[in-house]
Amino acid sequence: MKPPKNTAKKQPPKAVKKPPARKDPLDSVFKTVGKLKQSQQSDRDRTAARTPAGVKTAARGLRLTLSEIQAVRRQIQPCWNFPAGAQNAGALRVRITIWLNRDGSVRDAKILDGADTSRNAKLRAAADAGIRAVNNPRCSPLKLPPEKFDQWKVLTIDFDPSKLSSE
Amino acid sequence: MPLPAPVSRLCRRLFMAGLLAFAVPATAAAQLTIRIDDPNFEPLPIAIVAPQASNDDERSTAGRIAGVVTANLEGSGLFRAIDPSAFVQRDGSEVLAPRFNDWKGIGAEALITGRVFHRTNGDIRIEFRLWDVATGRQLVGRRLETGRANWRRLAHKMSDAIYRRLTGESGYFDTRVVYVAESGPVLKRVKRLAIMDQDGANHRFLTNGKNLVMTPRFSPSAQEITYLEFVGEQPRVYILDIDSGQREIVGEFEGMTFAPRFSPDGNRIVMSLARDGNSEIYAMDLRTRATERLTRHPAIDTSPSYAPDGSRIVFDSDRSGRQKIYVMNADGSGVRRISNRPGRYATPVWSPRGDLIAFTKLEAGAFFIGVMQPNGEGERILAQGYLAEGPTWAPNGRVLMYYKKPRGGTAQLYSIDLTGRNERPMSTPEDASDPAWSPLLED
Repeated sequence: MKPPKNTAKKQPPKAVKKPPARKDPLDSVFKTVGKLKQSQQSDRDRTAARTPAGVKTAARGLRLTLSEIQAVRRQIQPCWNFPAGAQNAGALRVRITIWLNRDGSVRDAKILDGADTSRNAKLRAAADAGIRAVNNPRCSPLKLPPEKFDQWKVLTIDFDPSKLSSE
Repeated sequence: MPLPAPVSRLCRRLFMAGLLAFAVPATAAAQLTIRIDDPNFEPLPIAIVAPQASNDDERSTAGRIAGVVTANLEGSGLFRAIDPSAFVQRDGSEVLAPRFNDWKGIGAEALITGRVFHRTNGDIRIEFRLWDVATGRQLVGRRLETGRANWRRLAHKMSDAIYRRLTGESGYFDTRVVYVAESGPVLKRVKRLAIMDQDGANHRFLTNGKNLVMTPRFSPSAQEITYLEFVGEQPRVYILDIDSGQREIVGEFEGMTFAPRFSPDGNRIVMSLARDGNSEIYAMDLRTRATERLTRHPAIDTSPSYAPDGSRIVFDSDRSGRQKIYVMNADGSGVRRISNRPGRYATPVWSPRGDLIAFTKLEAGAFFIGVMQPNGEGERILAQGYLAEGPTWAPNGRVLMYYKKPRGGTAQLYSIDLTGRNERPMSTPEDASDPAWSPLLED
């Protein structure tokens, strides 16, 4: 299949809006919010600890900073829509690799292997939601420093809804 | 009403094309990974184009089908239909070759196109496609056919196919709801069984109102209802065949009978029987008519409901001094209390997907509808009211229906999804209580 045609780069720069700060719409319903916030924080800590080792750097000082990584997270997050009330959300984690153009637009996006989307309808729907998120013109092109293109020309986005799991 | 045989065959004909095959080698895993763990729950923007038609009659059908599909998907709370006046590509070419940039431009993330035909044999045929706008992939392609009078079921089946593909879970649109319709003055209340499609259409009464009826519940085939009817002071458990109207008495039991409900295999009915003032849970084999007593306790045990695999039963009991929820094995062994918070708990109902138990809770003078896991953990309140009672599950276990009555007002049915954020009133011609949601209808 041909990579999806990129429309994002046709968007004028002003079309890229900074996503508004969002409150989890389920905060008022799910009782586990406290725990979730904790897990979110610990995830950030883990990312912080992992990032330097996980990135091959061309030259010292050209690594993506934590705030740049956080900016990507904040940019994609508003476009990741997940069906509310899904059962066993923890099993619906999907990793999607994206190939980016220099202007931050997504050239191609593919589901990383391991996700058996052909046999599992729920996982397939979750994977589609991830593909939609990275392709959504509302959340693209990604705002990343051009001088670090080698660092971010291929990224893996790990869409992990496990904190919604009621199990 | 069952669809004719050709429809059944056609329903299974899935023209899936371009199924996603997006796996890439693990080498990509070495790249920087950015984890996102807080998804949104905004409705997915979907463009629902009325199916193409070649004459006015067909156009009328196409418009009505698109209307039902739109109402179904929007009613689920998971989709937002884009106003058709915003559509750019509207010349019919979108049926087979959507210009995805046009649809992206109006914010659509999914697109439904199709064609409708009135056939000379009196059938309606619809061919429809669901497209992923971002990638241009066709996600679903199906053809359905039925008699013209059944056009609503065709729209419901189409809605279910779209819902299933986009959420990964089965739909609930091709279903019906039975409930108790109430009318007349307080001292001479008439209570009739009534049935309607899940969206309120095709409403009709099933009993004549001569006797008081209570607690209707569907059989697993959705073709039969078991319910209580009072003949004088004496309650009887009946089974009613919805389409033929034929009914039979399951049993006249000594003492009072309450809350009969089918087992998941349809072979048994579980209920509570009160003898000498002590209510216990009994199961009755519908073939042999033999009853088996499942609980033995001087307290009131009632409202039994099977787990979807038939292995366990949830019920409520005041054996601890207050009404709480208990789970036991289907043979009555291993009774265990699962609700441990303050308040009275009643009418527990096991979800068709097994992960949750819905209940009514009464605390501090207010009623609540909530869910908890079968081990009692994770209790969440979804709705509340002056009087709110009697939850029943949609067959996919993501939506509940119940009835609510404001102080001094009339009883009305409501649906709500598991987030508790999408509560919708149902329109019924009379006061409505005690709903029961059917399984998905069979072809």
